[in-house]
Amino acid sequence: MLTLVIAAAVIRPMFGYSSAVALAASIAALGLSNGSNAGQAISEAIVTIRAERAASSMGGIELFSRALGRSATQIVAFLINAAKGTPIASFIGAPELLSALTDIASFSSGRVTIYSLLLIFYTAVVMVVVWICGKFRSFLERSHAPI
Amino acid sequence: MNPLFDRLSSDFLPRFLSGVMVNFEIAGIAIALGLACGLLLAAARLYGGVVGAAAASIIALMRAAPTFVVMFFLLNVIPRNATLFGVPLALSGVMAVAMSLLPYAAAYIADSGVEALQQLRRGSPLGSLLFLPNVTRAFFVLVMSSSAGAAIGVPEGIAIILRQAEQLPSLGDKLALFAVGIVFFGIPLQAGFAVMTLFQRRLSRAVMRNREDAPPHRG
Repeated sequence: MLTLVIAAAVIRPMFGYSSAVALAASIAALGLSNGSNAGQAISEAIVTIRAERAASSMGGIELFSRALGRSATQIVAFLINAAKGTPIASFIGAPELLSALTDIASFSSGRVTIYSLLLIFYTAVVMVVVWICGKFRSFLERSHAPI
Repeated sequence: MNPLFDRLSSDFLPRFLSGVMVNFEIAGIAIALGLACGLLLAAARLYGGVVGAAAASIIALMRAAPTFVVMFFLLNVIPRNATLFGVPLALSGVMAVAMSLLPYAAAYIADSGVEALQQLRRGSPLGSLLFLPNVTRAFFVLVMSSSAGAAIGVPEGIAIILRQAEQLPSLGDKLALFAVGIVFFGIPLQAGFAVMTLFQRRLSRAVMRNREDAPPHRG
């Protein structure tokens, strides 16, 4: 959240406020926070692979690709986390579904229905991302079987 | 005297520190419940059969549950006077945020637990020890995600910083205040991560030493 607000605070004076600027700030914040976590997971995997295979000579690219395979679960977890984090963009005014439906719900008597639909919709969207990430993970694991 | 601190309200620091404690409290509840549920789900998933399939489905559903939406759902859908066997069901703001983070924590722990056991089966104990920094990272994410509570009026650290930032005139002052926030959240989190990394490295060294000392396997 703080990353998001900082990104918005830095970008707004440069480009003024618009939905596109809020969206760009959200993408930057979500990308930075989740990307740094995934990057750290890859670096930890590199350390363990180096320790386990100290004797064998392994090139930089091979080491990196094996580390990608070993940290695939973490990379996927943070890709999913980024997708799940998108509703928080409403906090800085990015045009996303949660803020739109919160407005609608405030004028509606069927609050339970609207929030249930919202939960189902977002869960379905994230499940699609999970499915795509699962394919990516299988690809990573198949490419470097002994991880 | 630093000009930034002149412009801050006199009770900012105590309010901010108590807010940071709320963030850590929410993350602590979520990681404790997440560890309990996640490890059970990981064990069930590795058990296989119908139990494993059911656990995999629950993990998939929890993995996909969006925190911010779950939080709004919990707050808006459960009636304020609802009870179950006389126990009030309505959640406080702190518990609503913690419960909304639970699906993420449980699914993450379950996935990391399954991965750790698979690494162990593949003959990579160091790979399985990555479970420790992974859990620490989950705690990091939970602390930072607990700031979603700002949207429902929970008096957590980021909300207090944002309220204070609104009263500061220049962007420079605001960025300096945000930097103060990063330092106050960053120091305890990075210190915790450093301790966990140290512990993991010591365990890794012990494992590698045992491996080298073990007699060669005869096939």
